[in-house]
Amino acid sequence: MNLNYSTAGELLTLCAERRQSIAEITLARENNATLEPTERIFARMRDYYGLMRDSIRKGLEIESPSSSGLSGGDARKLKNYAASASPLLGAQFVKTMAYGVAVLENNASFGRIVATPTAGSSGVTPACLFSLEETHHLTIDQLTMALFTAAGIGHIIGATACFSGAQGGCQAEVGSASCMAAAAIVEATGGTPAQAVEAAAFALMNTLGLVCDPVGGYVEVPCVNRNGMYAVHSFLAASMGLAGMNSRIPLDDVVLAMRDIGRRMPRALKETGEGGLASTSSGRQYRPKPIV
Amino acid sequence: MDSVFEIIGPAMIGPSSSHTAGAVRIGLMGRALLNAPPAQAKIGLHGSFASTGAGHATDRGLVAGLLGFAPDDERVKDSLQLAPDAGLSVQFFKTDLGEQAHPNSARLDLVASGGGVHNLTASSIGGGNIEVIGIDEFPVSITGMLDALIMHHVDQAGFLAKVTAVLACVAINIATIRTSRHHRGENALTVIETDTPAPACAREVLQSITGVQYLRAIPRLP
Repeated sequence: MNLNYSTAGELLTLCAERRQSIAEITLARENNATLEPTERIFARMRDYYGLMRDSIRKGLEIESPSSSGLSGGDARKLKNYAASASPLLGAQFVKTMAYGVAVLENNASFGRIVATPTAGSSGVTPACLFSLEETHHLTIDQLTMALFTAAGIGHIIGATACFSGAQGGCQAEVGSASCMAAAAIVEATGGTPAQAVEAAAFALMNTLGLVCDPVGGYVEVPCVNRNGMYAVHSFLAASMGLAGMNSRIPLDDVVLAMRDIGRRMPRALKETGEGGLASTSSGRQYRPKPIV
Repeated sequence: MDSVFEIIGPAMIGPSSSHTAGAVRIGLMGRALLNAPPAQAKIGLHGSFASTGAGHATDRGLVAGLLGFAPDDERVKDSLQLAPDAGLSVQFFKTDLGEQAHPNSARLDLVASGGGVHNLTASSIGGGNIEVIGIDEFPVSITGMLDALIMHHVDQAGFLAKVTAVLACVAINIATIRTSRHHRGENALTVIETDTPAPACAREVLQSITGVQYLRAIPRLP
């Protein structure tokens, strides 16, 4: 049984042949590749979902600023705004942002998070799934399967491109996370594997070019807000997929484009702190002392 | 990427998967290489590890790993304070590992509490994943996603045949195997990645092969 795939095309062929979802193929492939029993793989992923919920909960409680002074307390502000009389576009939209922000605020205060796929992008997928838990009353097991959908799409990105801001810019981090989350939302809410892949393409193509220029080198500005905003972006892309929209540029080509843009992106904009927001006069005030 | 947990995971203490969690894992590799608690660490930071490492707690991460903490251990943030109590003295310096080196890389020159001296060069390649690229001046490629055996030995005919025979006897499947040497007949380093850890009995036999200077079992990373 060959369950290996490295492109969305190959993945969709497997899904069609076996009449399985992306999540199911990904779980089966993991079992095949690692020889770990399926139940153990599933349990580990379910534990990760539990940690993701904990990090949202902890982040929403943060009131004091982080040690750099660049973040802290905004998830709470968003949560309160969501509970106000008429938040723009409705409470769930603001809450979804709050959850993404919460994870990153927790991360910035040396809290525990699950890199999905990186720490700097660890808020996007949890925010989407936790939001779905509230609106669609999905079970923990269903949300765990959604994490396998996300991982299946992440596998395609990782096979061709990369996830690190230092190599590919923020498009490789938050772009990948949003791409993975969009597909996860689609499958978790009953969409087909093909729709999930379309949603992933829409999410990623609209993050292309995002640079990694964090102020002071801290994973805070713009990362904290960005995780909240791109969680919502994932819902936008998922809606396009569920609506039956087709991307003229398929996911596999979007991933290649992301890799190409990452390679051409100047070093100054790839986590070096030498350009963009980090090198503005206000940004420079937050420069930490280098270790050496 | 072999496992979904390279994409989702690790569970870790923030703030950065490549600069913090990856750094912890590099430290853990260093500790495993020593096979004893470290007493001294001279840590050369390359590229982004040196320039933005403070904000990302790269220094705390590397030291946490040397102290044996997992990437999701709450003590990661306090590792620099905890190191002296654990008998570890640490010194950081800036280093240049060359154009080809990944921007998030470090070289660790380590002395064990028992006196063993080793060095390790590794890169944090994204998402908390790492690659050890050098051990004791030999080029290697170890990701920590599998169990690994490291053997420092004299380059001689039949060495790998003996090693693989021992592992075959205990039904350990070899995923990768690589030997590197500087000159024929001199010292060589062999790294064997296996799907399951080699049992102690097999390690004992491997250790006793003529010409083996040291053998280390490097468990897969948390």
